Amino acid sequence: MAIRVNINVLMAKQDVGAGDLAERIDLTPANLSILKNNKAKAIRFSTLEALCRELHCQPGEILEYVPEDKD
Amino acid sequence: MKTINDIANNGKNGAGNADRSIMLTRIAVIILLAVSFGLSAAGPYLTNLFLNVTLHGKIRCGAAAGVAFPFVLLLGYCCAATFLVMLFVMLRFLKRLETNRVFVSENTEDLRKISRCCAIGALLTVLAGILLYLPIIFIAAAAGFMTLVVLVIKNAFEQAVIMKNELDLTI
Repeated sequence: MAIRVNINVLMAKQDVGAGDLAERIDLTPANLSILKNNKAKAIRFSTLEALCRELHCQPGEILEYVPEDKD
Repeated sequence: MKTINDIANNGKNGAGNADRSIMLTRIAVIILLAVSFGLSAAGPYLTNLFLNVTLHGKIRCGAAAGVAFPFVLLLGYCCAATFLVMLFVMLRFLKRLETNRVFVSENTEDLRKISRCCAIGALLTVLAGILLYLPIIFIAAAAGFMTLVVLVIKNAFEQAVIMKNELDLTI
C-alpha cells in the first residue's frame, strides 16, 4: 500500500509498549497490530487523534506516502 | 418518545424474530428434504403415473418413444439430485446464518451453487417440456426466474463481503 504507518518508529523513539499504547488509545492489541503492520485499509479520525495525543506528534509523522514501484 | 430501554427491547425482539424465522426456514427445508427423499424412493411409480395420466401412455417425441420410461425416470432423478444438492446447500447456509456468520465468502459461494442448481433444474425442465409435456415449461420459467433472483442476491452478498472486509480493516 502507498500509505505507510510509522507508529513503530514513534513508539520506539518514545519508548512506548504496544499493549500500553493500545490501552491508552482504546484499541485492542490485535487492531493496533493491524495498524502497525500496514494491514489496515483505513484509519478513523478518532484513532488518528488518539494516536497524535498519546505519541505527541502530528498526523503527518504517523502517515507517510511512499510511491509504489510500477514494475 | 422512545427510551433507550425501548430501543434495546426492540433490538432483542428483532433478533428473536430473525432467529425464529431462520429456525422456521430450516424446518421447511428439512420437510422438503424428507419429501424429496420420499418422492425419489417412489420414482418408478411416479414415472408410470406421469406417463399414464399426462401422456396417456404415449410419448409425443419420436426420438424418446422407445425409451419413455427410463428417460423420464432418469430426468426425474437428475432433477431430484439437483434439488437435493440445493436443499443441502441451503441448510449449510442457514446454519451459518444461525451462528451470525452472514457476510462471509462461503455464503457467496453457496448462493452461487444454489443459482447453478436452479439453472440446471431450469434446463432439465425445459428438456422435459420440449420432449415430454409442454406445460412443464412453466416450471422451467419459474426455475429460470429463481436463478436470476438468487444471482442478484449473490452479487449483493459479494459486495457486502467486500464492504465488511474493508470495515474490519478500518481501525
